Amino acid sequence: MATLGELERSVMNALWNSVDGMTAADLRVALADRDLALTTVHTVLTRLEKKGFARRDRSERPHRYLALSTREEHVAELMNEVLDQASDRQAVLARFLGTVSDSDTAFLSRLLQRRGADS
Amino acid sequence: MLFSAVLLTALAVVLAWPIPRLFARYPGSRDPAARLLLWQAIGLAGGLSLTSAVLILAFMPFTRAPGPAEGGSLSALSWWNWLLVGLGAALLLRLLSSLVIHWIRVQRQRRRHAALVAVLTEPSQELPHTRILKVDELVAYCLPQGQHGTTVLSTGLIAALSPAERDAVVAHERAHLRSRHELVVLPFAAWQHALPFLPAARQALDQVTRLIEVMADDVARRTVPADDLAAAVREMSRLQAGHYSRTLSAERLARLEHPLPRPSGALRSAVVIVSAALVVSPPVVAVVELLSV
Repeated sequence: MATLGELERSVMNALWNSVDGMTAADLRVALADRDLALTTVHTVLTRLEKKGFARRDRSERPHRYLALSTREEHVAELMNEVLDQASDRQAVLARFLGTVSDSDTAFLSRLLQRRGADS
Repeated sequence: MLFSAVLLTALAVVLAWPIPRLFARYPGSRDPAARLLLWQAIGLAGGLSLTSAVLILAFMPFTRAPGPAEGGSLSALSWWNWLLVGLGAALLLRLLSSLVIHWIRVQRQRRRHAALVAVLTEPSQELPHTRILKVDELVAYCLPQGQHGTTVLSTGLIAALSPAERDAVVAHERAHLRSRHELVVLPFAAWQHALPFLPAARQALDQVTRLIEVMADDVARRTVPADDLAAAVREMSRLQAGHYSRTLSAERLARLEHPLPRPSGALRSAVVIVSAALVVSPPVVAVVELLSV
């Protein structure tokens, strides 16, 4: 049984691949291998709408769902947060190399270059 | 009374400016845990001493009163006393509320980030609680959420590092999560946000974020070879120089290339005693002064 998060990812991938949006029924067919009930698809779509990933086109019935932004735009948003230099953001994520602002010294950069050259 | 108020104000000033400056100038540390404790004591004692000083000043006519005949009545307080009481209360409230406000803000950002991670990354086939993000940049980070937290690795990182190096990176991230480092950073981030004009707040936050990186390395070394971790740091700082701090990388490499220094017991005890004294004395002085009415 896939978690709701995994379903959200599958639905978003389908929406990102579609040109002019999909209805809940379209999505159910596209994700046939998961054997979803239509209500489940609706639940996932409502959640995605609330989170600002998808929007609903209400001009015709059944409603069509479209991705609000491209996948790349969301990746950029995520990467911005990860690489943010503002250190008060450190409370949200811990990063492997940190992104603290640098008061570099010549000595330390030489040290780093030398070590890099050794390996 | 005036004397202790002046003394506490002086302590607050010293803790807010010269001491953090001095500390920041000598970043290297044999014992990052002891240094972290000192930073926590400096932050807490700074706030407490300033608040205590203001409150002692506010109640000066009480404490100066010769006998119970004159003291003990609130009418002895003039407008400037009330102003100081208000100032003290506002200061205390500001410091405490900034913690709460920052906590709420962090929770909101974290939820948003978790939603992004959920739709953009795939669960790793090999590593538990780890997700893979398809980007060429080398990134590894962790998101405290749920029981185990989530570690996110980029495909760029997996391609650039050997499996042993990648495992070392994951061990480092798990150390952050297990040690709840996000809670360590939180008050410093909150106060930096509340007091952006105070250089000490930025220096403290900057130093603490460096210390937790070193501490996560120390923990990771219990389960993975230090050489692999060092190789990963070297490789990432070489390939992603623009994004990361060179000084921090150099600091970590210098530590990873030697056996872990044994923390000195004497130093540690001294740090614990100094920290406790710093934090306890301002409120004790305030209580003694105010009770001696």
